[in-house]
Amino acid sequence: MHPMRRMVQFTGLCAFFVFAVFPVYWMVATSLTPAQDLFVWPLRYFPAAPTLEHYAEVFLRTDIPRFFTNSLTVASLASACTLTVSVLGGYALARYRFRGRQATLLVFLATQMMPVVVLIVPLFIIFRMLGLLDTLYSLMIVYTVLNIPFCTLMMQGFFAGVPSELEEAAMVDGCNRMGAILRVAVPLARPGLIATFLFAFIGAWNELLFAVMFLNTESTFTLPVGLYNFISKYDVHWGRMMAGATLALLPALAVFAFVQRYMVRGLALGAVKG
Amino acid sequence: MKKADPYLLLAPAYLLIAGFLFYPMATVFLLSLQEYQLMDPLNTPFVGLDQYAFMLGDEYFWRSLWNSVVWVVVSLFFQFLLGFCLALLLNSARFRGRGIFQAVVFAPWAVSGFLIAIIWAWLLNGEFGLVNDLLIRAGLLDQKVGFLSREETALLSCVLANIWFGVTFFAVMLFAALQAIPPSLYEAADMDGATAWQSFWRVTAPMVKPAIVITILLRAIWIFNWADLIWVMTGGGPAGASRTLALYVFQKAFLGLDFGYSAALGVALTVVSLVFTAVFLRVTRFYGDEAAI
Repeated sequence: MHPMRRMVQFTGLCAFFVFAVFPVYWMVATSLTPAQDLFVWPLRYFPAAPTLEHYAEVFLRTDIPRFFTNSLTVASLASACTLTVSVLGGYALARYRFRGRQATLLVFLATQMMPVVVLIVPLFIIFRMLGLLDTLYSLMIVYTVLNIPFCTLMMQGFFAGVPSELEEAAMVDGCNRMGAILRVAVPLARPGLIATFLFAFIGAWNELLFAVMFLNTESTFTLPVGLYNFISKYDVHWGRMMAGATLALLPALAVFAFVQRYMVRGLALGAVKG
Repeated sequence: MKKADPYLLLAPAYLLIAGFLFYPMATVFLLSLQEYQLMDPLNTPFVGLDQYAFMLGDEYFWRSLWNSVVWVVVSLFFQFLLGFCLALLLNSARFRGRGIFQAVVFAPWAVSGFLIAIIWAWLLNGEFGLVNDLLIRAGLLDQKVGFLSREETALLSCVLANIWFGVTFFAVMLFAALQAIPPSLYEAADMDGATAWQSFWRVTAPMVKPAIVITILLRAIWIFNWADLIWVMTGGGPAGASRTLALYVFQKAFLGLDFGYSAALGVALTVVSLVFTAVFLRVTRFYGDEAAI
C-alpha cells in the first residue's frame, strides 16, 4: 500500500482511539488523584501519587454501596422478567405463522421509537394508584416492559436460527410444546438468551429519569439517582464523583465485552439506547 | 399444534405492553386536556385545548423546539461524518489486534447517558476542566471559560458529549454495511480502470446508502427524545439555553409538577416522533418478516 495512505490511516485510527478512550481515562485518572492535586492549575495528566482514598470514601462515607445493590437487584430482576416474557413471545414469532404476526412485529418495532420521556407522568399516576411509588417494584415493572419489545424481536431472531426438527423429534418422543421449548429450543439458543439478558440488564442499569421521578427515599435510590444527587449539589466533590462513576461503569463495560458481537443486530433494531 | 398457542405464548408480552406502554400513552392525551397539578391531584378540571393554546404562546416551548433542532442536526451531522470515517478506516486497514481496537473504540456505547454527562461535565468544567487546560495550552483561549454556564456554549457542550457517544453507533452500523459489499465489485471497478475516488462514489456510496439513511433516521428519533444527558449536564440552563423539548416535558413534570402542561408538551413530542417513525418505516420498507437490515 502507498506509504502516504498508510500514514493517513494510522493517524486517523490513533485519533479515534484517543477520542474514544481519553474521556474514560480521565474519569479513572481523576478517581485516583488525591483531592488536593485535582485543583492544581495547569492540570497534570497523570496522577503523580495515585490513591484509592476516593474509593474508600465512596464505600465508607456514602450510600453508594447501597445504591449499587439496589441497582443490581432492580436490573437483574427486571431483565430476568424481560427474558422470560421475550423467550415465550420470541418463540411464538419464530415458529408459528399466525394472524397478527406481521402486525406484532411492526408494533414492537414501532414502540422502539416511542418517546419514553412522555410515559413518565402517566406511569407516575398509575404507580401512585397502585401504591408502588417510592419502591423498587415500580422501576422493575417499567424496566421490564420497556425492554420487552426489543428483546422479543431479538429472541425471535435467535430462535429462527435454531433448526426446528429437534423440537419436532422431542414432541414425537412425547414432550409437549412447553417441554420442547424448555428442553430443546432454549438450550440451543443459549448464547442468544445471554445476549438478550445482558442487553436488558444494561438498559435497566443505566436508566435515570424514571428512577429520579419515582424514588424519594434515599434508601431506595438506584446508582444513577445517587450519583445524580451528588452532581446536583452545589459543591461537587469530583474525585468521589469519578470514583462512583467508575464503579457504575464497570458492570456495563463487563457486559459490553460479552454483547459486543450482537451489537449490530441490536442497533439495527433501533432499540439499544445506551 | 394448537391454534391458540402463539397467542398464549405472546400473551404476557401483549398484556404488559398494553398496560404499561399503550394505556399510559393514551392517557397522556387525556391528561393534556386537563388542568393537573401534582400538588392538587383531586382537582383536575377538563380545560379543553387550553394547555395547547398556552403552549403556542409559550416562548420557552418555541425555544426548546429550536434547541431540539440544533441538538439533533448538529449532533447527527458530526456523528455521521466521524462515524463514517471510522468505519472506512476500519474497513480498509488490516492489522493485528483489529478486533481489540474495534472493541475499544466502540466502548463509548456502553457508557450511559448520565455517566457521559458526568464525565463531560468534568471535562468541560469552568475551573479545573481538561478542555480549558488544553485550549489554553494550545493558545486558543486566553482564560478559562465556563462552557456549561454560558448561554452560547451550554447546548453545544451537550452536543459535543453526544457526538462522542454516537460516533460509535454510526461506525458499527456503517462498518457492517461496508463489510457486506462483495469484493468482486471493487475488482470489477479496478479492471475498468476506476480510480479510488471513482470506486468510492460509484461502488461504496450506493452500496451503503440504505444503511446510512436508516441509521440517520433511527438516530434522529432517538436523539430527539433523549433527555438524560442534557438534564444531568446543564439541567437545561442557563435560562433554558440548552433545554430541548424532551427535557422540557420532563422538567415540567419533575420540577414544575404541572402534569397537564407536561402532557401537552409530550403530545407535541409524540407527534414529531410519529412523523419520523412513519418516514422510517416507509424507508425501511418493513413489509417482509425480517427486521430492517
